[in-house]
Amino acid sequence: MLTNHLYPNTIEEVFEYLGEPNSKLLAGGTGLSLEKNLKLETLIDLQNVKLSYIKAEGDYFAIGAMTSAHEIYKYDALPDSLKYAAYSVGDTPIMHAVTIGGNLAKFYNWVDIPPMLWAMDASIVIYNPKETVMSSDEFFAYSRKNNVSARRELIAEIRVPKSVKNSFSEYQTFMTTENEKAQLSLASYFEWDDKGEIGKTHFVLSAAVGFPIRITAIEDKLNGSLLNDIEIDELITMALDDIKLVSSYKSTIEFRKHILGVYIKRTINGLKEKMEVTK
Amino acid sequence: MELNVTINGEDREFFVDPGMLLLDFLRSEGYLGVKNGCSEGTCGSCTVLVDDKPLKSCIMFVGQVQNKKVLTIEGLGTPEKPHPLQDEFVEEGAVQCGFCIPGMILSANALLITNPDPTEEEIKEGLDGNLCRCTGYVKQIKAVKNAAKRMREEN
Repeated sequence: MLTNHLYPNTIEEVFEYLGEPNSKLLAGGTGLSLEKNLKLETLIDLQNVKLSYIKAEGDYFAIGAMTSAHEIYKYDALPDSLKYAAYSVGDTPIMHAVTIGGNLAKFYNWVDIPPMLWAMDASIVIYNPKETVMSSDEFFAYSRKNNVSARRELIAEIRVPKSVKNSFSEYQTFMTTENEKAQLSLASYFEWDDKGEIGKTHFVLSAAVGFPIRITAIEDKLNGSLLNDIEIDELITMALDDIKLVSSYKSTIEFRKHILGVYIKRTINGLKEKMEVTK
Repeated sequence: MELNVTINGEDREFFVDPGMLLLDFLRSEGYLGVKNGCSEGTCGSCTVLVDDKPLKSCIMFVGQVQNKKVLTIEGLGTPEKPHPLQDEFVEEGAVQCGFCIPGMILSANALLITNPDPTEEEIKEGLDGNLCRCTGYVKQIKAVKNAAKRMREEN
């Protein structure tokens, strides 16, 4: 039974309070407040820990873990793909409540912001209580085993690389109504050189799988290639062979496969257009 | 736990159960304009403003408003002197069953605090998250537009 609601002011205080039995960190609260039969005694509310900010720092944007999805959506200088992922989180009051850190710490498979962060190769700053900076690949492999909220660690900051000249990123998500959980989401990021050779490709699939995954088969196919040499249908077949989708009561595996194919096609067409513009 | 909160402009002190949701707390204190609809953060009937931001009180712990300003519909205008948004909702006939209206008006108020001259698209975005089962959205959007104009003229 909940008996305590604590308000640390610093990261050091957060770890002092995490010593309390049955305690848990509280960010926006949209997930935790809905959990039934909470076996918790203490909430450690992060609202005073000064982790709500977006700052341009050298070649990346530093986003504090308590920054809301609405603040990300409204921050002009951030990449449109990330702003769209933040917008997809939910309606306006939900965007005000959901935080980027909470989204990463309590990992529901339909969440919108984390797959986009992974596609963009963001770094995640975690305290346990020692500070560690993880790449997205490290963070998602780590979270797959056990999410951060269960590990009694604190996500403090997310570092999103600034867009480089020859790059393209996109977030697509499919829902049957606007206020439901995503059925399938695809985040992507590409870089290419002045000759049009693709040097970096990230495809991150979420919602239609148990945990977000990179579609490495098509990443490998695209890396080092010229886009004109690529058959989109072949890419789609490779993607579908590479991954195992799960069904839900709202959409079958076959339906989700079709949506994934459409999204891959749209992504590649969007990439082609961007490459033409930047030629 | 002790809770210090400003509700509708009045500094208040309470002793509350930390496991209580903000919605249940506000209703237990008599703020019955905060409606209990879906209880899962979907319908928006329980929307209140916390430090001028619209939030769904059914998915918040009461302690999350410690030392903050909460505005419920009871704090926006009076029966004798309604807020322009309340006036315009009546004027436009934008209220049918009325259940969603407190949350709807508070969301509109949050929008007008930051954006006194919103476009129709911005009004739709501001009201997003407030579901009206009577589907009276057209008149509600018009009412917000009229109220915004009136408020700009009055200022």
